[in-house]
Amino acid sequence: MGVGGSGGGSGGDTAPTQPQWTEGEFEPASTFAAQCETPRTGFNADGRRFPDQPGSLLHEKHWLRSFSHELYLWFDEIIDQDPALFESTLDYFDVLKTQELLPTGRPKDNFHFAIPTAEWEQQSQSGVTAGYGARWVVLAATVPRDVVVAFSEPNTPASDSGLVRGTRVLEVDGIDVVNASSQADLAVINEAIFRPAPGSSHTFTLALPDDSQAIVTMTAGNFASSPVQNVRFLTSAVGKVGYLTFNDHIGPAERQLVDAIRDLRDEGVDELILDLRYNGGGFLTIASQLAYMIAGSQATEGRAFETLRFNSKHPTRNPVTGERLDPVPFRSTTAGFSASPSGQPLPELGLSRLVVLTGSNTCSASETIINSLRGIDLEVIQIGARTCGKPYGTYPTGNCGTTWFTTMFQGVNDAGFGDYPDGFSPSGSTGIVGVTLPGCAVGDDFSQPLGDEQEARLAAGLAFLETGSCPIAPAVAASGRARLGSGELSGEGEMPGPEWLRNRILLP
Amino acid sequence: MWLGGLILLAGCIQPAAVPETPASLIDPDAASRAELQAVVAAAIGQTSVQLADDALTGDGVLLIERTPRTDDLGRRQPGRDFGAPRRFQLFRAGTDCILIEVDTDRRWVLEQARCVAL
Repeated sequence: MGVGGSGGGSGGDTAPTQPQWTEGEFEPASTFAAQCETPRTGFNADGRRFPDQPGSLLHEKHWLRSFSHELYLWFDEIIDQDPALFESTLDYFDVLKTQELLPTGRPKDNFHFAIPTAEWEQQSQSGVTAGYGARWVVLAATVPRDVVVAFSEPNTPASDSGLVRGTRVLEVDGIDVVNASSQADLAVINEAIFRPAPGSSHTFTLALPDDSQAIVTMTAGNFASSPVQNVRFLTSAVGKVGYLTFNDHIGPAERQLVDAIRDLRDEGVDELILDLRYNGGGFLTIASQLAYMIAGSQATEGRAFETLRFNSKHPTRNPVTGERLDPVPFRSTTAGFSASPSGQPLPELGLSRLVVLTGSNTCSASETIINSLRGIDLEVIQIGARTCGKPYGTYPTGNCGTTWFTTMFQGVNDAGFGDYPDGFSPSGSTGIVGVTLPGCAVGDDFSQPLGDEQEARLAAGLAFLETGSCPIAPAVAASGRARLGSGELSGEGEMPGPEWLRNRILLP
Repeated sequence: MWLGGLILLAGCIQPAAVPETPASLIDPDAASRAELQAVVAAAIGQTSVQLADDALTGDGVLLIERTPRTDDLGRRQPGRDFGAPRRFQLFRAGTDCILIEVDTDRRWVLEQARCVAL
């Protein structure tokens, strides 16, 4: 035994014994759990008293070390270092991961992450954010900056004020967004665009896609997003083609997807173009349901949507839930998230191929849809840009007031495949290329609305269905943003979220 | 009960003696929004919860889930989420607007709210 007994946990005046480190020897994480330098008092969100006991920073670091050794997917690639040599738990956590690189040169583990538990436990109405109802894409965070509307939610100040897709922000409250250089100006801009206080009003000078300008004043509020939009029936040489935009795997998506697929089925669509370009994931149950509804009961019968693989210490049981690691079937019924009651049969299209529109913001559960369908031999055609590459997952785990996100498992499909850490890339991509799928590399086209047949990615998807090949010229040239075969495509941008906003937003 | 800006939350109540009909809120104002927010926050064991300004005005269903988090690269974390949202639904019983947590059948009277049967 290389680590001394902790001796903590009993409170009182006796100082807990400090754990000792011996390279390569590990005590169970439970030995050090909840022995905190600053124990919390009171109750957590479940009404249970915090388990924290007096401990030390070293106890917390030893917990991280043992926890990672037990559950980290690549535990045998962690270089074991003395926790006492690190200033903080966060510093130490940073080295408790693999330092290996992917063949493309990217870090093998891109998903090491921690936040305060109080922040992690915050809850909100599904899809609600403070703002104007616009979803922004930052195409350039530095001068000359480029902030563009990806889409606006219906019935919000953004949609009511005409912030259509492709609208660019030129000024906010009289400050030049494109060229501002002072920290004070940037603070005003960032606040006004990305995190306005509900009830606050700001004036925007906008460049609209038709090259006209507009000045609008919008009052921020709390608005719920609609995760499924633009359900369309398109006609083409290959028959009826359905299209829908699916932006977020949140609770309301279940009902909206069921309604959309039912409508598409009733319309008798022969093909489906599923727009996942802005979908960063969420509930896996919803991903499983959508995959089922696309492929249908016959194709999914007895097949696995996904199987979780943990590290080699846990070949048969999920070490967090204790459940057997059996293949997870495609979900064929409602889960009662928003389509109620639960247990009702889902509508199905029974398609043999699917076109997905993707970009760098297509991630996690969205990629699982693609991978699970490929696992049952459904042909997936990809139009757009490389997806983010996250076949991995975790059970966020709290200790002493911090919640730790360390990669614990990989999801594999019915064929046993889950190696897409560089994402999925459409044929013709250059630069960093993930698992290549048939399709076309096409930049994000902000000159046309989502769901419009002239929008470059949708247009390329329709063309590919009809001809089996990509359009020769950019489907839309007017915006100068749609690109075909341009490899590392321009115009992908980043969609700001809370932590991204905190650290990056718009830069000098 | 609304007293000079102070919300006094009623505790859980028993099922109503009169029929309960699915309902939606009408004309929510600052007081009714504050009451709804306080009731939902207490129901989920939080001090606050972010709701839409028009919460419960449509189909009368309110889904609550963990506030999405993104990492430094803007990617949703974890992004492959297990679990399910918590579901609340509004009902009208007589003149009362009653919020029910579907899975637990816990219910609260929203005294500041006005609602209409769907």
